[in-house]
Amino acid sequence: MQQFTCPYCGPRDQSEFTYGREATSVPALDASAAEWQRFVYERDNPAGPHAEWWHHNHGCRQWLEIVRDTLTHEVLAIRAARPPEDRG
Amino acid sequence: MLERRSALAAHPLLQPGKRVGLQPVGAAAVTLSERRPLTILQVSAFARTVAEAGIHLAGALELELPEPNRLCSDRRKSLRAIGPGVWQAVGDEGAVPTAAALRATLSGVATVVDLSHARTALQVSGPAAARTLAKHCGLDLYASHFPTGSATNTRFGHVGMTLARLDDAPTFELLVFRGYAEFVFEALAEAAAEFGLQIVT
Repeated sequence: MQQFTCPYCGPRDQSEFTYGREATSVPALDASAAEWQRFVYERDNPAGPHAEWWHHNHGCRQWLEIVRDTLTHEVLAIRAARPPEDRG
Repeated sequence: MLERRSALAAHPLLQPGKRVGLQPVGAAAVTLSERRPLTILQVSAFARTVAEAGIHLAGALELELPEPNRLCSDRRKSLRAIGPGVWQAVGDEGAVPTAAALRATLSGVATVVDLSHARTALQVSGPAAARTLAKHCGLDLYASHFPTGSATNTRFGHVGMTLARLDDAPTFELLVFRGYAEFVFEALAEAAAEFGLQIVT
């Protein structure tokens, strides 16, 4: 099974994680319907590196941002989606 | 205060001295028991008060603050770090502050949730304990990777659990959702049968 190296827990089976969605910025609440349409329904679906949000729901319960190569499954980067200094 | 009732008290397997599977002449390779009554408090710091919450929490429990996915303990209680700014205080009744008292201590820096009624604590101990657990848990449970003092959230089959290694027997402690206690208990009994299992109460 593929493993992801969680910044808090270390290497863990992928089955401990749940895929969230591609990591894009969230539109403002008053953004246009077209912008929300694009955020909710449209995907870039690249063949290659893809930034994704994953939830370590059976571990430390953090949201992580993982850059994963969709052709090779290689994990190119992994970090907490919102580091403590960005919160609050 | 609500009466504490074991989710497993009525289970036909949970009898002192009950043996399952191989019947070794000497000590069984695995012993299984439910640990109760136990107080389990989960403490979650706010994003900007993680350091402060940790200091006050360690002070209230008179324990060191554990490193990530580790525990610090004395004879009757332990403190586990299971996520960024998230800890569990686990111990005998009376050894851990009440949820109300801890909430007052950590006012403004963390929330406290009493999980005592929500979890069942199972202990799997003995030379074959790691091999028993490995049938349902993807972690490397050998001492080199999961030494005594480790504590982490992970999976037991499809069920989430908090797993800790308490001593070098080795003894593992599983905190599972109360509603899954019967499933986990029976799965452990079946997994341990090939090594010889003794139920301890």
